[in-house]
Amino acid sequence: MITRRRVAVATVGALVALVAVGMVALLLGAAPIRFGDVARALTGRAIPETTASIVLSLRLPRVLLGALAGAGLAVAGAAFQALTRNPLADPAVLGVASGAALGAVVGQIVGFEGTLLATIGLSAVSFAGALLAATAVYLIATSDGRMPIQTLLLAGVITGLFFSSAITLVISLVDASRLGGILHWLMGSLGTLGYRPVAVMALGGAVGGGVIYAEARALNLLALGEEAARQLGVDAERVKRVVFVAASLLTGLVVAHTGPIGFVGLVVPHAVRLSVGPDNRLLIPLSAGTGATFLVVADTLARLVVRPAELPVGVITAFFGAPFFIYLLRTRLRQGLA
Amino acid sequence: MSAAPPLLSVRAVCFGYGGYEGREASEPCPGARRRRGEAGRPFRLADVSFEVAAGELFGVVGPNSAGKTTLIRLISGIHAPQRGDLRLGGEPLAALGRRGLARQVAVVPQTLAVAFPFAVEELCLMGRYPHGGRLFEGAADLERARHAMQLAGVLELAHEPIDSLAGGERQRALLARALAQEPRLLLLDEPTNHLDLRHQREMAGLLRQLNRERGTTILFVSHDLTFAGELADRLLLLVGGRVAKVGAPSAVLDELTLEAAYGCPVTVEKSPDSGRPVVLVRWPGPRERQ
Repeated sequence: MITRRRVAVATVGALVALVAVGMVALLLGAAPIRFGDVARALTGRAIPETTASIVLSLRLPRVLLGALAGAGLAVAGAAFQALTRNPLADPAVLGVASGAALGAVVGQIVGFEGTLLATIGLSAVSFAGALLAATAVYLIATSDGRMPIQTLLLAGVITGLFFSSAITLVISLVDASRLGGILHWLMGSLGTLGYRPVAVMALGGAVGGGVIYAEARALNLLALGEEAARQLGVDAERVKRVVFVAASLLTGLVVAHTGPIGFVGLVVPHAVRLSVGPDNRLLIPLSAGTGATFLVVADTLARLVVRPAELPVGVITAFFGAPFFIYLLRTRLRQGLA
Repeated sequence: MSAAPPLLSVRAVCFGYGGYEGREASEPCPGARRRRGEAGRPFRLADVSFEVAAGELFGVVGPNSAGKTTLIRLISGIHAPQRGDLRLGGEPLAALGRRGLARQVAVVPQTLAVAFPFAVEELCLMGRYPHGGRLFEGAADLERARHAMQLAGVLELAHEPIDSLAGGERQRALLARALAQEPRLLLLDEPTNHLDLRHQREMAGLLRQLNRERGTTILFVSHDLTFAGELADRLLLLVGGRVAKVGAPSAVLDELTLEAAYGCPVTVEKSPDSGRPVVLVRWPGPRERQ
């Protein structure tokens, strides 16, 4: 049985792993920094100014952003999987991330940049885009109250393609001088963003994640199908609506600042489910911790492999994620998990 | 002295899916509103009335699409009837609320596709959901879930994923989940569907034991007339959404009634063991044209 204590122990374990990995990520980079110097920089003691600035202004916000983005995407993925009763769902597969990206592109062109209010505004339009795409997929894929897996995946792919084309359209219509960092952002990156998006994502993520976790038990019952869940006393319509919006919020927050990063929302919850079982009360916090760690590792690799240049982090996650997705398709789908 | 109200009371219930413009079946439901633009879709249930007393073992039989599963959906609050009145222990169903209803009525579905590999014990703990505890079950919930698993004979399967179970075990796991709800009324939709003879017999024994020894009121729906007649105290024969007959199995399962209901010739014999009716189809001979 899943108890509060078991969840707490597992969560603390995942956090310890995340902090350890985050520390290592602070040491590594174009210029390696010794552990002692990182520790001194973090505790505010005297070290050379360039070293302090690399640790505190470049690497630390990047590690924090990576951790928050990884956690957000993984929790959104777990939530979409529970909602659609489908282990192949995630923000990217469902086209929700593309919707968020369209919103973010529009926001950046409009000029949401530079202030805290603008950061919040950018997150908001991205959230709106995510919600729009999620609603579209949901309406396309549902018929007679059922959501067959093939229809759902197709609806997601089509919605994703549509929103990607809309992004291309917007970009080609806008004067190249106003595009700024958009093209770089579109490749998915945790580049130098500073602490503002970290703060916005931490706050918004806490709200979205909290809302989803509050429904974790009801989400378990949804695995039995809506009718059975309702016969057990679950207000299925309300749970679906609330979790749907919250998962779109997480997607929007992440995509607004990092660009589209694929596969984290798909791979992480599934890997966690394989090791601890399908109970969302344990799955959601562990997915958050594992997703955070995974993305910090992926981003560190992205910074290291072609040093001193860097790869978009989405390349690394896709190189891990795509083979895993194929594995899922070949094994799970064949077993009729749809 | 007034008698206690029946546990379940169904009064003049009419129900149809979607646009419920009834064709034949709706006619005795005066005032049923017709929606414009809807093709005539008959009521699935029309003017259905019956009562189930506390402690009764009640069977519902009838031909395909007689509305048997629809009836279970209405009693478990999935759908609300367009007309008529459903009461549990004298209270209107709608007044109980979703959780309140789930504390009193549990459903064993015909089949259940579980999207993720939950284990039997986890499935049974889900049955504790309507009894409160926001996010986590307590030790008392675990105890009740294990008790339910023991009653249904699946305790040794507690940690097996549901999707790895064979048909009979699966059905008993679903029964255990329903029992973990500790309902006053247990609803079963085709409890012997897809079960072989031994497992059918086991299921019958289990339901009778629950009813006789623990006093659980049971309403089940079945295609299998002999099984239903063997198990039930009383039967309801549903034909085309209407009540054709309610009464003791020997009264409902008689040749003329069944031939009219099913539109085919049958023979009813007496079981040498129980004296209950055994219903046999008279199969067409090689020359008979269907």
